[in-house]
Amino acid sequence: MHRLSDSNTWPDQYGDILYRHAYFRLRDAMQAEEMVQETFLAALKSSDRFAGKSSEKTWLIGILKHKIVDHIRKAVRERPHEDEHIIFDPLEQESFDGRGHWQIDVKQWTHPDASLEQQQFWQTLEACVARLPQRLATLFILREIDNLDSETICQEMALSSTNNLWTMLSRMRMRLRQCLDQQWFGKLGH
Amino acid sequence: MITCKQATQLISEKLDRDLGLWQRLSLKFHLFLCRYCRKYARQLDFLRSVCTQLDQHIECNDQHSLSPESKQKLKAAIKNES
Repeated sequence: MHRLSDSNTWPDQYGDILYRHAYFRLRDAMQAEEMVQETFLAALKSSDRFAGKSSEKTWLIGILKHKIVDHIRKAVRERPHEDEHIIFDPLEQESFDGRGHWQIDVKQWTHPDASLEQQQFWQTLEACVARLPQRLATLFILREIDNLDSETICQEMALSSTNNLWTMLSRMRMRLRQCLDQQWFGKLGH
Repeated sequence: MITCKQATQLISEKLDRDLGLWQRLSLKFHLFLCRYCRKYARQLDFLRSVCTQLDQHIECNDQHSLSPESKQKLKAAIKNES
């Protein structure tokens, strides 16, 4: 039988960590706090199922992530959405001319790997994700962070075809690339 | 020959699925000739590799933290339940 630590210490031990994950995924402080609370309460209820295979922290993060995917699924059902990113994308208009050639300069990123050592780089990337339109940000999390397969993502996000998914993923990446280019690599100065 | 706009779409799709033979060849040929799209492809590969590490870094971002009051609230909620 694996034992969990005293649950009264959880808010101090894991509160911030869980909150940061939740905030990154939901981009709403109130909702993020609620998710942290729900996670702790769910963990209390199922504490007998903690197998000790992972650390307590990993276990709690796992519960949080499940809760958030449930939350996203509900939000998608309740709030009908239009994927305007599929029909018209201003960044794409700006990037290519009428014949589909680049009309912006795609600059080389110098020593991109060196950036990984800097905490600021990660904060910039996080900020770039936060700037994505809501649907594309959700897509980013399901695909790039949670590594879900395309079929599952289409279901969770109520996308009618995988072609729409490929288009939205491409636009999401184009935006992230541009944001990092402007907010990080373009500012490094060389 | 495919356009840069079409090439960027395939560069992205390649990260999510296996391209068909014809798509693979068209992309290869395009990348051979177009250094802008080559750079774009390298940058998307880089993005993919950093994203797998992003989750760990989120935890360390002390720009976002719970307030002391929120932590008190959480403690109260836990006490109530246990």
